[in-house]
Amino acid sequence: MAIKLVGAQIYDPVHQIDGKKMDIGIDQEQICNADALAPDCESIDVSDCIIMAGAIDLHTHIGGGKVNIARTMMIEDHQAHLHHGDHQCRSGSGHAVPSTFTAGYRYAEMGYTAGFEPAVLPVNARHAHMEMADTPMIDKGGYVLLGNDDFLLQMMRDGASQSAINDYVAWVLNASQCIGIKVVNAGGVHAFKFNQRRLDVDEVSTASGVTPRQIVNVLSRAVYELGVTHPLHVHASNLGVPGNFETTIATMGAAEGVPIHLTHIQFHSYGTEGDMKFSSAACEIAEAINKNKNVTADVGQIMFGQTVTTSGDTMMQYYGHEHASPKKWTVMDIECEMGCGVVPFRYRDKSFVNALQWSIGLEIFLQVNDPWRVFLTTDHPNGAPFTSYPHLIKLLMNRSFRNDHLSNLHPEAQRMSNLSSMDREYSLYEIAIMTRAAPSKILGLADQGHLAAGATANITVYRKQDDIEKMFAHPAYVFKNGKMIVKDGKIIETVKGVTHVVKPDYDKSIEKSLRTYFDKFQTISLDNFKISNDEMEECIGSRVVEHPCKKT
Amino acid sequence: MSATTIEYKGSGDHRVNMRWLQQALEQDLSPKEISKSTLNLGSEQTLLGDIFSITGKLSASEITLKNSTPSLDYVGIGLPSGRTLSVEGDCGHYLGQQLAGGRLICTGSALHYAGCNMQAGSIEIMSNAGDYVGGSIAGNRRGMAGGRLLIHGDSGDFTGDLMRRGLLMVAGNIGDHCGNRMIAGTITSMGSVGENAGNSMRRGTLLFPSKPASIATGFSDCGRHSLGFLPLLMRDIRAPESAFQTLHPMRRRVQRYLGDASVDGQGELLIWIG
Ligand SMILES: [Zn+2]
Repeated sequence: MAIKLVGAQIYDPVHQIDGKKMDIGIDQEQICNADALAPDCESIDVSDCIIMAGAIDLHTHIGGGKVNIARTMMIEDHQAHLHHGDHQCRSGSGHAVPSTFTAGYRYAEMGYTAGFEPAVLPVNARHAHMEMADTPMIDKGGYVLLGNDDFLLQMMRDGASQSAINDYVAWVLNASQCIGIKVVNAGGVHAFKFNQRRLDVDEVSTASGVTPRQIVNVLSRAVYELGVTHPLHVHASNLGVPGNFETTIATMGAAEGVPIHLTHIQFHSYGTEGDMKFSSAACEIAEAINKNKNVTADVGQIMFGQTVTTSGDTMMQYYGHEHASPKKWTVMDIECEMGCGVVPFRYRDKSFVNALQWSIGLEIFLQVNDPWRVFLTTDHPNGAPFTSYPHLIKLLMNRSFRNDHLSNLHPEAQRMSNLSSMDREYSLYEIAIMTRAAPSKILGLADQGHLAAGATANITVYRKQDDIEKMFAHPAYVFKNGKMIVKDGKIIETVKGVTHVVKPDYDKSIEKSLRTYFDKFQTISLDNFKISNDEMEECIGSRVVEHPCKKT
Repeated sequence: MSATTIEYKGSGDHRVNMRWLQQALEQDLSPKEISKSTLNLGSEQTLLGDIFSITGKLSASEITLKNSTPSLDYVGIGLPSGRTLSVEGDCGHYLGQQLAGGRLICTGSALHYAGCNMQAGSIEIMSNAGDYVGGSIAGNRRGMAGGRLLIHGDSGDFTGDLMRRGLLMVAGNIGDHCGNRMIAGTITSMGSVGENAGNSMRRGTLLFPSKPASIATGFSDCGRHSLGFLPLLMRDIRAPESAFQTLHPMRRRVQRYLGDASVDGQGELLIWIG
């Protein structure tokens, strides 16, 4: 099936196209040269529209154990948001933590064509993939969690070589069918189980004998040396603690120059100034990102309203439980590999801390100069549900809109923030970088996030209008692999996505020591632990698309 | 003023979500506006006017729902005070959920979760009710939190699950796990009670004419008592017209059990004697 999209303004930062009027051709699943299509093929007049590639969310909690716990805990959320099925879509529920089908539909309706689950536990990978396979419309991928697992910590304590650690990391990536490695509060989740309540970057964990810095260092190096495109995805230590910006900058340093991605950095950009001993350190953090070219970050913007925080960081979630709203929470160990904490939370604009958090997120967006290195996320659902992205885009693109919102916040937070003095307004081109071009680049998805001939035809067509929030919330058309799936903001066809993975090479002899470890300590055998491509496709229900690793 | 009636004309093949009535009451919609609004039936959509006919104004304090069937869920959800809804026929699940002070009468039976999470007001079911009467929908921390729930027939399992406050009266028999995870409030019956009564009960009162088939293991027998508060409680219990009015107003002698010790252990199970 060939379609020609005629007359729209194109935003394709990968090819430096900034609003030029061009035609886009779709041939089967791919984008093609519009002139090469037969003159009588279907053509759609989109001259009042702009076109971007399908958007990619590189950090969104949409599948896996803790998301499911959050769903069952947030019964109010699901009771209040029931979504009826129709002949196209299945029924579902939820807003802050929507059910799988609902999550897929909502993403597609906003022009997103891929989302990446950032916290896949190796031992829970099968379940996470099943849930993601159940999420229709978009492509998925996962970052697998290491850095609090006994095997790695034991290796480090025993002085294992970097190459042996690389083999283990590569083995886990292969076995769990993921596209990147994530570390959450390196060593801290492990230490918490041994009653350690804080762990700073250079503090030796009494339980594991290593420091968070060492863990971040060996893992970021492993990811780099294995040639995995996505840098180590780091949820830094001391999440939410006033004064933690120093920890965050120290964590950047732990990578020693190799690529490192700091996630939901807003939660890690706090100072201790002012009467409330809580202040914005967005300026220091943005400066550090600007200076260190190996560093990328996603923001984890908060929005006011009800949501639920889900994190592998049991240490910090335990502190957060006092603020649970509604009052229920859980913090648990998961198979001695990691942990999980789920705490419902309502961000309030009249709260000094919440208002300042909102402001800090935006300050980071506006002070990081390079849109290729800062990503648009709310750490769904931790800062806000992903459905608030159009609103966030408007806050970034419209200064007066932003300042109007600021003026309604807690007065002390307004006084402590220098947001109102920031003139910067993001352009459509920069939004296209943040939400398409840069995520595809940092994930190594060569055929996505751009609109050149040969790219996968994931395309979002927005009808130009004055209200940018409305424009981004309800695209005129969305194409996924060449199929029109959304028309005028409504789903017209349901499709299944694929799972993006990397499979770095490694020395297979690592399985020998792993097998001993599994036989002794794990709850399932090593052979059952591994997920094969066939299992992904036939049992779990999502085809695997492998992306190459660079040779270093 | 003529009475306001809503008549169900549907086939009963689909489950019908009656939340629309709550919204219509809140927004004081006219019968015409309601008839034109859409309603989801499974994966189909229909006009409300196609399956309900409405006469009179919804601003009336008394509304009658005619020809109700077990396919109607959420009948009277959140009914506010000053409103009376009389249901002629049976009801589906979640009858009177989150009742907010209104008066709800059902001439037939209700399915599961009747009166769950009700806050205030009264519900009267002339026949039987299913499981989780006066209980809580899964995931909520509290069940029924106030008001009076009267069932003239039998109730199912988990009657009063997570109940927090109020009076739950079952003139007939009660199923298993009565007062499960009960926080406070009163449940009473005139008939038999099933297995595992008072399981994980923290506080509150269960008042029965005979010992349940079994009591949760965390209860201990505290002997025979003559309790002065019972005649006071009897005033409330004997207030509505029901089989409970055959009880003597001054009755006060009971066998008393306390539990469930696995939680707070301050709940009491009272069995009438003498
Ligand atoms: Zn996250």
